[in-house]
This record gives sequence, C-alpha cells and structure tokens, in this order.
Amino acid sequence: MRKRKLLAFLLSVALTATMMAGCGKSVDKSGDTPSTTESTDESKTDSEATGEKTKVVIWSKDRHDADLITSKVDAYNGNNTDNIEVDYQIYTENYEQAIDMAFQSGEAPDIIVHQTQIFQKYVNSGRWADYTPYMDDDFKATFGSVIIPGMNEIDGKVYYVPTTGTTGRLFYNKAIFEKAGIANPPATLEEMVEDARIITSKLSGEGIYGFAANMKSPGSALGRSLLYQVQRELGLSYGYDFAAGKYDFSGYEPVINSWKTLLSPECAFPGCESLDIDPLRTQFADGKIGMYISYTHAEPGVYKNQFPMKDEWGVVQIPVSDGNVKGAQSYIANGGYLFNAESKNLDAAWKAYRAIFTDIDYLAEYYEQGLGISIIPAVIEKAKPAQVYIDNADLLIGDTDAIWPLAPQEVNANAVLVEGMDMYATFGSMMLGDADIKSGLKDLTDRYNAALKAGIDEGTGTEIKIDSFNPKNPSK
Amino acid sequence: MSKHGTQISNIKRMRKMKENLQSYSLLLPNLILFIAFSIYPCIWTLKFIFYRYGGIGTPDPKFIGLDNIIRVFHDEIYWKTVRNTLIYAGAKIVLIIPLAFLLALFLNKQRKGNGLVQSVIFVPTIMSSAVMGLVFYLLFNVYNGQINRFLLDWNVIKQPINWLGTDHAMKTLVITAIWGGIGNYMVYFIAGLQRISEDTLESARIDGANRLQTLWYITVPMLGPILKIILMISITAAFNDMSNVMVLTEGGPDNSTMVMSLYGYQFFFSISPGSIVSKQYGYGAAVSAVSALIAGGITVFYLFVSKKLDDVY
Repeated sequence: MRKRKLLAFLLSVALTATMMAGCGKSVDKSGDTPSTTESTDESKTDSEATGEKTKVVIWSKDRHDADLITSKVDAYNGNNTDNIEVDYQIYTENYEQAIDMAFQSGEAPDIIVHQTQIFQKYVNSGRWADYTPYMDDDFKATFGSVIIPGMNEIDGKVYYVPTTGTTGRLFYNKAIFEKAGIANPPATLEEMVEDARIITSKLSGEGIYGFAANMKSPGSALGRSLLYQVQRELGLSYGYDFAAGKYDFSGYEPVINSWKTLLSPECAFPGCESLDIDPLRTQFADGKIGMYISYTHAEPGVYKNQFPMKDEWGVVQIPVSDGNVKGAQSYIANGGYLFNAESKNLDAAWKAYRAIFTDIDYLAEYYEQGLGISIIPAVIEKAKPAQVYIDNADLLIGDTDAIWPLAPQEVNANAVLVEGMDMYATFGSMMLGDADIKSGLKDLTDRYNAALKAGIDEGTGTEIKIDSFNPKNPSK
Repeated sequence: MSKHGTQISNIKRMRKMKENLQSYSLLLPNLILFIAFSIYPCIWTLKFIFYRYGGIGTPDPKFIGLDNIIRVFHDEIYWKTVRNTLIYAGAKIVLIIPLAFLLALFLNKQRKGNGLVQSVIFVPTIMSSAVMGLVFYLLFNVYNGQINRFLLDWNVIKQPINWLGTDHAMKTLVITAIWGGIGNYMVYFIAGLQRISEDTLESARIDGANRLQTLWYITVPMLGPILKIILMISITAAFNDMSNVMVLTEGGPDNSTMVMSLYGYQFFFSISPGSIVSKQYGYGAAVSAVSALIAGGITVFYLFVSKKLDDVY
C-alpha cells in the first residue's frame, strides 16, 4: 500500500516536472523556429571564436516571389565574402501575429518584409532601425525618389525603401464586351453601370454577367476598388478631408448608389455577397464576368499561372462620374524591408540587404518576371518590362497615381476606434441591404469624427490638417 | 476524551491528510494546466474589460471603467448577433437531437454494414471545420454549386437559389452544422441505448407494449441522463460555433449570420482584410464576457429545467 502511494506521488511529481519543463524557454536553434536574440548572441560569440558565419534572419509574407528570392539568397550565401549567412523564412499565415509574438518574446528577426499595418504599429515605439546612417550616395541616388516624408521618412529617419507599387484598376473581358456589342471599356461611372446592365441583360441566359465584387468581405472588396474610386471622384481618402481635417462621407452618396445598382441582379454576377476574390477570379477566367476592380500587381500573374484565361482581358483606369477626375489615385508602395532596431547584426543585415535586395539587376529581373511593378526609375530604365505591361499600360504606376498622406486611422488605427460598423461594412450594408444611404453616411461621418476627437483627446491621435491640400497632387 | 481516544483521532487525521496529499498530488498536473490555460486567460480577459487596449505593439492599456460594458449594451450589431446566435443554436439543437436519436435507433441494431454507416456518419465530426466550410461553399454557392445544379436538373426550382445570400445563409449554416455534428450525438445516443437492458424492453413487450409504446415509455425515459448531457453539450457547442461561420460567410451578408463568438473574436483577430477598423482587446473582452454570461445563463436555466430528466431514472 505504502509503495503504491509512493509510486503515485513520484508519478505525479514526474508529470508536473515534465510539464513545467515544457513551459520553459526553448533553446533549440534547429528547425524552422527563428533563433532567439540570446541564441544570436551566442552564435555571434561562437562565430567570432570559431569563424562561423553571422546569421541574418529575414521574415517575409510573400510566396509569389519566393523562387526568385531564394535563388538570390542561395547565391549570396554561397558567394559572399563577409561571412554572412541569410536565413530567409516565409510566413504567409498570421504574419502580423507572428511578428507581434516575436517582438513580445524578444525573438524578432533581423529583417522583416514591410507591411503597412506592421510598420505603423511599431514605428512610434522605436522598433525599426533608421536607414540614414547606412545610406551612401549611391543608395540615395537610386532610391531617393521613393523616400517620401510621412510615408517611409518620419522626422528625418528613413525606415524602409519600397521598390514596387500596386493600385486598383478595372479589369474587363474583351470578348464579353464584344459579344454584348460594347465597343470600348467604360470611361465613366455611368458607362460602367450601363455596360454591366447591358451585359447582364443580353448574356445572363448564357451565365454571363456584367459586374462582380468579392463582397464576402466588404473590406477586401472595397479596399481594392471604392477606396481608389473615391480618391479620383472626390479627392478624399478613407473619407478623410485633409484640407478640412475631418471625416466627411456625405459625398459618397452617388458612388454608393451606383454600386448598389452594380451589385443588384440587373448587373451583378449572382452571389456576390458570398464571393471571395479567388472564386471571383475563377469565374472571370471562365468568361462569366464582364468586369471587376482589383490590384494591378496580382491579376496578370493570376490569369497567366493560377487560373489561365482563354479570353483576352483588358485593364483601364477606375471610372468616375462623368469622367471628372478630382484627385490622384494612391498606390501601395511594396517591396520594402524593415530592420529590427534591436538586432545585434544590423551591420551584417544591411550588407546582406544591399547585396541582395537593392541590386538593380535583381530588381529588373523582378519587374521583368512580372512579380511586381517597379517604381524605381533606374530599374524602369534598365528593365524590359514583361509583355503584359507593354500591352496594358494602365497596369503601371503612372501620372494619375501618387502617394497620399496617411489618414488618421492609417497613422494609428487605435486613435480612431469607431463604434459600430466600420466604413466598409457600412457601405456593404448600403450596397447589399436596405440601409438608407443618406442618413447612413451622415451617421458614419459623425461616428468617425467622434472617434477621431476621442483619440485626439486621449493623446493617441493627432490632428491632420493640410492647408491648401491638392488631391491631384497629394504628396506635395 | 481519553488519551487513547485522542491518539486514535490524530492517527485518523494523519491518514486523512495523507490521502488528501495523494489526491492533490495526482490532481496537481491537471490543476496547473487548468490554471495556466483556462483560469489565467479568463482573468486576463476580464481585466481588459475595463481598459482601452489595442494589443501588442499599441499604446499601453488605459483604464476606462465601465465604458466597454456600456458600449456593448448600446451596440446594435452585437444584439443582432445575439439574436442570430439564438436562432442558429435553437434551429441546430431542435433539428440535430431528434435526427441523431433516429439515426442511433436505426443503427443500434445488430445489422450487417451498420458499423460502416456509423463510421461514415461520424467522419464529419473529425473533419476540419475549415475544410467543411469550403466543401459546403462548393455545394451551396449560387453560380455553380452542386445543390442548385441538382435542383435545377430535377426541375425542383426554376432559378438558382442564393443559399449564401441574406435570405438563406443562416439556413445553410444550420445545415452545415447539423452535418458536421450529427455523428457525434449519434454516438452518444448509441452509447445510451446500449445501456438499456434488453430484459426491460422484453418485459415491456411481454406486458403488451408495441414498438412505439416501448420507445416512448421505456427507451426515451431511460435515456434521460444521457439526453441531459447531450443537450448540455449541444447547447454549449451551438453557442460557441464559429469556425464554419467564419469560413462560409464571415458573418455576412450584412451581419445576417454573425454570431456572438465570431463578433467577439474579430476584435482580437481580423477575420479578413479590412474586416474591422482595429483590434480592440478591451471591447472584445467585454463582448466575450457578456456573451459568456448569456450562454451561461441559458445553460443554467436548462440545468434547472432538466432536473426532471434526472428524476425519471
């Protein structure tokens, strides 16, 4: 009896001890788990003592360019004379959460591929290293044009340098337009609605419809379309009037009304309210959808590789009412790399970054392969763009596009905590449901301004007001 | 008390203490896990009810008193999600329990192939709900879903039904949930049915009870205790169902399928790009706490009402 008790006690102690051991900090440096800062220190000390390579860890969220980048990284690891080894890791799922956890536990990598939300979240807490001490004249000459105050340069410190850009455009199926007897793609919002209506009325019997949007997630659908359309139509971004320094959604009414028609049975592909972007693309590739709005960087590759399309597609600027463009369209600057300010290997990280990711030949290859649309003048000059860009000039970032200043919720999402539905969910309710548009927009304006005021009062938000703001030239 | 009596009492107390020590030492591993992964997160969540906090990397939490709770009570969308949850849970439970019971009755017999059928019905239970959601999307989508194709081919409908549109999305979710959960409840019922003694059923038949009477007066009452557990599990499961809603509709269109748990979840983790303005841990915690109180209240009410089931057997 006593033996059994002793055995039971020992077993429970063993169980508890095993469990507690599991709760301890792992010191395993193998596998895919990123090395800890401590382990980096150790490896550095070891490397100094034994001549081992300095490891630079890079986290990326992108898979579409993985083949090219990994080949460049492998080449660099094999050839560099600085005794540096780059460990390039891809986190396509939960990238933001992974970075949050890494910072929280002090295990953040040396370099992180830029993502706007992540950059904004940590820029004020000093997590990102400043490029400026490292930038030589050659670097400044090549990338100076994409260093923009308020975007990647804050208080004289440069935190990343974008190399590619993307924005929204209207994609249309040329064969469907021809079949419906429409000679040209829409140049105005009125034409867009009318064309969608004609296509649906003439061809819905064959399962072909005029317009579609991935409204399962209004944020995803309207963030790639309506956001840009309103910048062009009203000169507002995220409903924010930079000249007045406040939100004003009242002008959205005609655009929302047009979208309501576009998403109604007389124009829309059935089931838009439950459509994700990839199912939408499969139907567009299958010749069932006349037109939709999406990102320039993604769609060419999608219809070439992911969902090969038989019909020819075309691309035009997003139409606005009467073709009266009042503002430039913003573009998302991609392809930047953020440096962890707490990295012990900043010098090595910069060397690796310079050698791999700022090499003009690499950037030209990236552009030529259609992996991203270059915004670097030296690259555009050197590269021979992929044929798809030559055939569809509207895919490129052009004179109608510009970098916009950040709206308050982009600067700090926590400074504009809106009660109730956010703008995209509200628009979705208006477009797909019975919500009254006029009163809904007034309520949205009130809620956003109240949230902004609360954020400013609390000290988390800042008042953004740009005197003589010109939406056609918003970065000036 | 005599000296001898005191000694006996001390020995008994020591023995009791040793027994307790043994029990507690065996309990310790689970207790630590329970505290670490259940109690601590609950306390952590409850704490943030009183704070404005956007999560890691955002400004420090700011104490705002009861503002988050007050906001919950003024949040129209939240109360819409409560209504949606009650409809979803009610429809699911009302349909899944009788169906699972009928399946169990049918498959409880010693019949060739029953084991295989039971396994097939049970498979969805172990299937990832994300995969399940995607499969049902392929079945139910309006433009090329198999359900519409089948109904059109058989002239049951003239126009495709928008199963995931505002009018039908909730029904589709309930169907998905029933398909995913029925196997589990069927197994519980089969376990309950197998506990009923064949002698008891035989006695009823000898006394002249027909099949229906045996079922109603013997089988169903004797399933009382297990039925109570099944209902309890189904209520809590229905109130926490979230993953298939997330995959199939993301709570849309226009929040028509948004349930309480998913609504609270999206304040901690974005369910899709741009689905919410920003992470709001404080408000998410308040939503979760109020939701837990609602679900807990309904469960307690059920336990109170269901005491009768215990008294049957």
